[in-house]
Amino acid sequence: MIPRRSPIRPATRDGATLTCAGVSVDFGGFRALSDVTATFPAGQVHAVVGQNGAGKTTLSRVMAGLVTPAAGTVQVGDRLLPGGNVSEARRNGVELVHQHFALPPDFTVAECFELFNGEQGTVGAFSRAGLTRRAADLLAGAGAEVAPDAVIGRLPVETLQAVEIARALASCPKVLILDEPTAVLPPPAMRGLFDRLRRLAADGMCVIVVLHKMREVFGVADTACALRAGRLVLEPTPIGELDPATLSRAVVGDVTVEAAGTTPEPATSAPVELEVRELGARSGAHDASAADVSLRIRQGEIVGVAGVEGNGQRSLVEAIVGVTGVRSGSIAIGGTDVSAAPVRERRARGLRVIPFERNVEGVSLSSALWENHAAMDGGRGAFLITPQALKRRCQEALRRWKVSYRSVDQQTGNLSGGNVQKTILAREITDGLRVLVAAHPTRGLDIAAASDVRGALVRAAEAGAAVLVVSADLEEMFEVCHRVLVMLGGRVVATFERPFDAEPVGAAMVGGGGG
Amino acid sequence: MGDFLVTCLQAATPIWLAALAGMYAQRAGVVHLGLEGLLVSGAFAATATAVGTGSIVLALAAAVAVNLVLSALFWVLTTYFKANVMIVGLGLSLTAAGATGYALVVVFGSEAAIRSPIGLPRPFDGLSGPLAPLGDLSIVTFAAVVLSWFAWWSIRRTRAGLRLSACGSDPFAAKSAGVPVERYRLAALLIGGFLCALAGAELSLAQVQSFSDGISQGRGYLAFAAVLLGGVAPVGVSVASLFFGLAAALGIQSQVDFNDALPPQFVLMAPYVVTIVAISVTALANRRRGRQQTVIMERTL
Repeated sequence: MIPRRSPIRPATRDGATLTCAGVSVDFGGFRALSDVTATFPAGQVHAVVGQNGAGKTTLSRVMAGLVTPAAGTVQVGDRLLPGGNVSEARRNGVELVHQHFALPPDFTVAECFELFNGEQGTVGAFSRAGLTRRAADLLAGAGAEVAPDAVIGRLPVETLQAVEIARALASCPKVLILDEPTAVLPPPAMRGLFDRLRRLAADGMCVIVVLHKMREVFGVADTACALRAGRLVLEPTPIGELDPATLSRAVVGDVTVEAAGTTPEPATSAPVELEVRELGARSGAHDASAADVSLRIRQGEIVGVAGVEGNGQRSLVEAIVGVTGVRSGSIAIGGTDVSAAPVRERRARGLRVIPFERNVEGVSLSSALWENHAAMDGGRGAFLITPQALKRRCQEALRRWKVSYRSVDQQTGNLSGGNVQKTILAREITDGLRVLVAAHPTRGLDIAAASDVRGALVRAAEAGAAVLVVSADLEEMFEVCHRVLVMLGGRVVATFERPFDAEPVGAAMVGGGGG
Repeated sequence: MGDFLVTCLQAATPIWLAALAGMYAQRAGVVHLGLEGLLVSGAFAATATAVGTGSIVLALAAAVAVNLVLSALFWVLTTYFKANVMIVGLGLSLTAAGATGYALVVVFGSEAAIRSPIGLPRPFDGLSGPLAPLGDLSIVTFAAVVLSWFAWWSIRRTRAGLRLSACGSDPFAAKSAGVPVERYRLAALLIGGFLCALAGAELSLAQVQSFSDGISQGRGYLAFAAVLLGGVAPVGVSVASLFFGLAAALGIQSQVDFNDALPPQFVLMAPYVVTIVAISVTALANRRRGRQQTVIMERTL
């Protein structure tokens, strides 16, 4: 069969109005969505907001045909979609950009485009050259700078999003749904994305975007609707009729969310708890090597490390923790050099960690809560353990940290993201804490949980710990940190002091900030 | 030399076809530990039918039919009854070994072996000159060459192959693209059943023309090793299978050449040792690069 170059249709994005009517979804006995009715007109950007577990992702997946609703219908234009049929939804012009991307890790970019190429049937062969050409066209059309033969698993997260958006736009959809597209982006890239969405909407497309933060909603959306516990508590409402406070209230209900604030900066004479000198270290292929990184954190001080992901933050954190070897330079905790010390010794000196990937590095999702809680004692104490005592201790700790759970025997994976993070805090923030390293402590958490976690960091500093926060969330860092360093290409390229200004920090993150 | 290459190919053929079967399955996201069972069931069905009917076409058809049914059963158990893929695969292998041994006794009243009056056709039989050794190769070996090219083409150059690979690499992405993942898995298993039927027929009807208990001698597991060693890629899997064939042929040859000097067991051990070393090295290299070994990953909705 002769490979046919698939036609790239001109940008006639005839949008269509998407209507959900009485949509309900059950997962087992759990009602993830109940009776959601909403209309999203074409030519606008619609924000869907809500806390974790409110049903935002489920709603977007119902609209895209990935989840079969127990009741209710989804309509595009005047076409009623059959529930839970992705092919049919895509044929009718509904594309979903996933939060964690639906791109097979060992595929090339070109192969991913072909996988999602709905214009041709199952039967048929292609040539490498044809595939590459089509991908190059699509990437160019979407303004993504990536080689068609790049392997997905080796691409940084921003590029992945660009690829995912390009593949979604490849079919010229009428409705484009984006599930938390901003969770992985640094501020400059976020503005680029928002401009893009605005242009697509201006061309007539119906753009539905799931968002977390109020500022983002007011930055991009024409209308906003809010989900809480699976119910639509605010119908799509023009943004002009809303203010942040109203929307926040809709999202969290009557719970009051208070800003964590921060502690006063410690005196310059306060003893240095964590000192990193001219550190060189490399964690793996996905992160730049940390090169010549020096930082000092005093007792009670909170220092942030900002940067686009992959610029050496992980190398730095892993070297401090002790899971990656120190190539050059030194690390000292409480004045003692620990450059060559094993993790256990560093922990004994008061180092505690909230790791990057809480579900992979922080806890074992398939283990019971008490087992995760007891894991910190690894290697200490007696050879045998007494589960009853450990369970009791876990219970006390979880109660103190206000974790919602049923039983300490339940699998950790059953908890929501915020509660998982709190179980890690409960394990890590204990007596003897001197240095706390927190990597993306609030990533993916809802407003209330994020605020709790930030509060915990601030209290740890108040109690005299040195805190290092690595985050992609500048607002968060500006709220709690006394100093913010920016890493780029493995080096610390800039240091900012209070009061912070987002513009120069964001510019430094992408290497633009005044040289 | 020509004889030696022919011995290599003969030894490699069953492993090769079974390994291609395993590759299709694993690409679709199914770790196939039932290859051994499908080899044995294919070999038995082919031999029994050949004995009963005297027709080689019917023998092959019976082997294919039996293996398609068993593969479909594999799929039903793992898909509808959510049974563990590894356990169903191992169960299939063990059951096939036991059931064929039992059938030998019950149907044929023989505990040792049944001999077939006919064997697989040898398309180049009777050639003279330097190509004469080719005459010893059965039609299935030539089929294996063609099928391995087909495997490469179907995986690397067709849309269906791409979708199949997505089912194994990232089932969630496949679903998002509208690919009916379970149906692709069924298709992969059925193709595998067909390939293993040919492999089984080669085992029992190519050279020895008989079926005996334990005929496959773990070749199905060797095929599984070839899948991993070959990186689940069509070319790699074929190369790995041919390598195993080479090692087996060396073992046979060394028995002839220096029977006293080097115990043939050591040569026969070679492919297994190399497999362990190669898989360990790959795993270590992957870990160095910070990649995790993917056995089967399923993102849930």
